Amino acid sequence: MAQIWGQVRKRMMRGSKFRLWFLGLGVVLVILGLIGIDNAVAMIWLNTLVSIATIMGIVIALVQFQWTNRNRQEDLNNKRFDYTKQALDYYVHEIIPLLDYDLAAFDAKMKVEMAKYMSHYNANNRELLEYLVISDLLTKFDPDINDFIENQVNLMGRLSRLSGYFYFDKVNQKQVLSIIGYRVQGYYKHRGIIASFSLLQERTHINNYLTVLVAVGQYVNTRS
Amino acid sequence: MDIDGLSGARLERLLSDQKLVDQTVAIALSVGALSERTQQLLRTEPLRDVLMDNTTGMAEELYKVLGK
Repeated sequence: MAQIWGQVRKRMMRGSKFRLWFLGLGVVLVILGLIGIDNAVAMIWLNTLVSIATIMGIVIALVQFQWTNRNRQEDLNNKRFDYTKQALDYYVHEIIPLLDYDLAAFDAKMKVEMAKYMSHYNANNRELLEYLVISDLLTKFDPDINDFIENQVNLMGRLSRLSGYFYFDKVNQKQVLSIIGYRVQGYYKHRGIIASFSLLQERTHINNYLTVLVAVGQYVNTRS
Repeated sequence: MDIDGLSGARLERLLSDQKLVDQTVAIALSVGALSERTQQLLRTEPLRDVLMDNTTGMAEELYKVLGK
C-alpha cells in the first residue's frame, strides 16, 4: 500500500497541475499567516511579494518572447532556404530554356527591315523608327515572328512569377541573383527584346517581371 | 540592364517629342516598307495608337499566358 502511494505521489509531483496547486496552496498559507500578524507588517510583506511577483512575471515574459522569436527566426531561415531552392529550380527548368532561344532569325529580319531606312534615319529618329519597324514585324504572319512572340510572352509570364519571390522577399536574393544575374542581363541587352518588351508594357501595363530585372540590373552593377 | 528601355519610359520620352514623331512617320511613309495596314493606320492615327494597335496580338498572347 505504501509502495502504491509512493508511486502516485511521484507522478503527482511530476505533473505541472500538481505543482501549480502546490504553489497556490503555498500562497494561500502565506496570506493566512500574514493575516495573523500585525496589519502594517502584513502590508509590507504583501507589497514586497507583489513586487517580486511582478518582476518575475516580466522576466518570464521576456524570456518567453525571446525564445519564441528565436524559434520563429529559425523557421523563417529554413523557409527562406526552401524558397531559394524552389526559385532556382524554377529558373533552371522553366526560364533557361527560353533564354536559350536563338534570336538569329528575328535579328536577320530586323536588319533587313532597318536597312530599308538606312539613308533616312539619323541618331535622333533611329530609335523611334526601330520601335515602329518592330511593332510592324510583330503583326506579320511569319513562323519566325510567331516563335519570337511565343518565346517573349512565355518569358514575360515566367519572369513575373519569379519576381514574386523577390517582391515578397522570400528568397536569399544574393544567392539567386549570383546564379541568374549575368545570364538574364546578357539576354536583355538585345535591342529587339527591349523594344518589344517596352511596347508590350505600354500596351498592357503589366510590369511584374520588372521586379526581377531591376534586381538583376542592380546586382550586376554592384559586381562590375 | 536597360530598365529605362524595358519599362517603356524611353518610348514615352520619344513619343512626347512631337517633332521627332512627325519626322519618323514621314520617313516611314516615304520609304513605304511597312505593311499596308500599318501605313494605312499611320496616315489616320497618332503614332502611339499605331504602335499599341500593332502590339495587340502579342498582348493577347500575354493575357493567355497569364490567364487573364
